Amino acid sequence: MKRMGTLIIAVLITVSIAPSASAAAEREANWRQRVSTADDVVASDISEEIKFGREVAARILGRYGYLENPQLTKYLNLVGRSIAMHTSRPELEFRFALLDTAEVNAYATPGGYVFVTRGALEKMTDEAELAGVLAHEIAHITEKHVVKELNIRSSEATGVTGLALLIGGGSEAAKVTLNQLTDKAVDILFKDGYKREDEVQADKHAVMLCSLAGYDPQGLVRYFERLNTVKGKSTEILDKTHPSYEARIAWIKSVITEEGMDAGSYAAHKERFARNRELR
Amino acid sequence: MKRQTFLVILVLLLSASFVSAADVYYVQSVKAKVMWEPSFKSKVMTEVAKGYKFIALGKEGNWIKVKRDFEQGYISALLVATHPPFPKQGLIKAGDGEIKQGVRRRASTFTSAAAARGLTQEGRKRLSREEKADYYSLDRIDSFALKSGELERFVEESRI
Repeated sequence: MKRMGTLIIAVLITVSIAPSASAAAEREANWRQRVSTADDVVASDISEEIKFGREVAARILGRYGYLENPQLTKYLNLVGRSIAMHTSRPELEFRFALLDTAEVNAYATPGGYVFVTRGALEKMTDEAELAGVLAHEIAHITEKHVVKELNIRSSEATGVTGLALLIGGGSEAAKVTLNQLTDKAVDILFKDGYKREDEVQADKHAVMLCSLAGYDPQGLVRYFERLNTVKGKSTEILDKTHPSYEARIAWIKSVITEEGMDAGSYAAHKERFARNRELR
Repeated sequence: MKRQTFLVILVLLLSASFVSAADVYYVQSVKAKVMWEPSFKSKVMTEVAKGYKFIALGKEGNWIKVKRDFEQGYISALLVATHPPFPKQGLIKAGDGEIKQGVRRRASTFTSAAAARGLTQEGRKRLSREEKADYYSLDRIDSFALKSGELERFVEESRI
């Protein structure tokens, strides 16, 4: 009888512990598949993330040059920030700017810098397309794809977090590390590209962000369909660092249907886009 | 007595497991719509503001199932996190001069760092290459600011 009682208690204890243990294991196993990684944001890392992002942004600007146009910059920031309002990173000040190159591309750096090239803007026909491209870059930032690609993880044992540990403070070692991380980040942007799963996530989040902001989620599909017909030097880096347009269009269309974004009132703001682009 | 102790431990363990299963979330976006169904097609139940705290009942795809008053609804998982919203972070420009100086020093710094890490000659060459960095334009971008109310007016005009 006593043995039976012990057995029952052991079973009950196992049952009571199992859900929390399995939930923790599932969370760990699926950390890249989670819907959003905003939970990975640690307060002490934010300032270092911005510092790191500034370095990468300076290198992008050094490569292409800044196309300074107050009206167009204002327009880019209005569209971009109206999307960023719907993200899980309210602590970041998102900044949007135009790069002076005929290459067709857009870039994001940690901490909130988003760049779109003159060549990309020339290929767009409405504001929903621009919103889709900016939202894709915003998603790379909110999901910390560069930071994850560089495998900067928190050290729970010491209580000091990843970026703060590596580049925090003003030591020579921290400066060297910052320069090295910047080099690697630049390689991701211009040469190696993000992981395929990160591009999938950025595309899917982009259309959902567009939908939350009221923009036609099909804008990104239209833009990719147009780029798919462009061949040549202007899309060389974009083609080299991203999955095929066919694949991207397929998974974007699938998320639009699955999430119920194929119905509803969404805007493209074609005239407003044309009016603002003329300001160049 | 022994049996009573066992029962107390059992109850504590059971309650602990239920508490850990419940996830507390906070709205991070300026506003978040609570939908009746986990779909953009769904009708809106209500709207909650940044910082709104709720206990999640579960997750369905890209949606968090929440309880509001006596009804269940769904919030897009893109809009929430398990911590309260952090305040807006100011621009990090401290040490800008040091960074610029660091860029000028880059080649030698990289070469020695790469050597210390035992990289190949080719690897050292790659790491030590001089990349241009444009801090002047970056400062121009950082100094850009929208006027008060400009973004809100733009969002309002965008509604259809």
